[in-house]
Amino acid sequence: MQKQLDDGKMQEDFVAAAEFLLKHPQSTGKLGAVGFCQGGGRVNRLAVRVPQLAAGVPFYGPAPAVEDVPKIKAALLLNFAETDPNINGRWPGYEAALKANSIKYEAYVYPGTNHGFHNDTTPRFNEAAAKLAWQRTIDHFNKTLKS
Amino acid sequence: MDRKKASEFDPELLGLFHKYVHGGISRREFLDGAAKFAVGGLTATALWDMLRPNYALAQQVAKDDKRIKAEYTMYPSPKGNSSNGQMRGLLARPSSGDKFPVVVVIHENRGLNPYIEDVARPPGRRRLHGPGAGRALASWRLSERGQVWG
Repeated sequence: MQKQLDDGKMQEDFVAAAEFLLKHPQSTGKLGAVGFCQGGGRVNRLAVRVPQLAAGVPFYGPAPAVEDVPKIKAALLLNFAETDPNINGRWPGYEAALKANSIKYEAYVYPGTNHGFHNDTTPRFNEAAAKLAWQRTIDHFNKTLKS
Repeated sequence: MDRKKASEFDPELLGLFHKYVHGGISRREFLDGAAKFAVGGLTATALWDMLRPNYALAQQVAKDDKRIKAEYTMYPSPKGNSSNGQMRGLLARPSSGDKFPVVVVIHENRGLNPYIEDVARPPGRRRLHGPGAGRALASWRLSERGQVWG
């Protein structure tokens, strides 16, 4: 696990990854991000930080600071577990800010799931929910990132 | 290979494991808390083994799939965690084609592990190999340097 790493610097590592990909010779310049758990929170924060981000898909990710939400340009698809109090408790405030700023988003809660349901290496894996959420993820990227 | 379901565990035990995964408690504290769930010949350590990731279950897209070109690459990240300003990620894309949209795949708090590498491997995990799916979906994925679980 990563407790020993600096959180702010780790976020910079993903901002740098986004910039690296945007500039890559094989890139069309259409940028998306998907992340899981803490990485889902990083997708939210990447959306705040990188205006070129066109699509963001956080899976059970912590909400960004509500005052930063107006900076988001990406169309978001948010996937939540049903039983995930730490993450879901902050969703109403986040959703209100998305609505208030007319930011495009879709949000889904997957019944019967726990935090981490997409990870097929732990018992929290829920195959049906993982498939549906991933199909929605692919559809979202196809819709928002096609040239 | 056997993968237990979350419903087979007491929610309190799952909550305890969640705390452990997110750094709230140590493995020792998890084992102490799990002791009361260790019944019927199970030990707390056995419960820990059941709940922790089993990476042998992760691979849904073969590493040598010819439709995919995937390699570890270094990229500059001067403000990041690395002392030399370079980060390692898995860069993957369809083996044919010119330009693609790009997607950053960001792992959980377990680093770049076999699960997240598998997510990053186009043309798409979960058998989403519909016509053009790999091409239309962005196919560059990067992640943070690997951190070892546990």
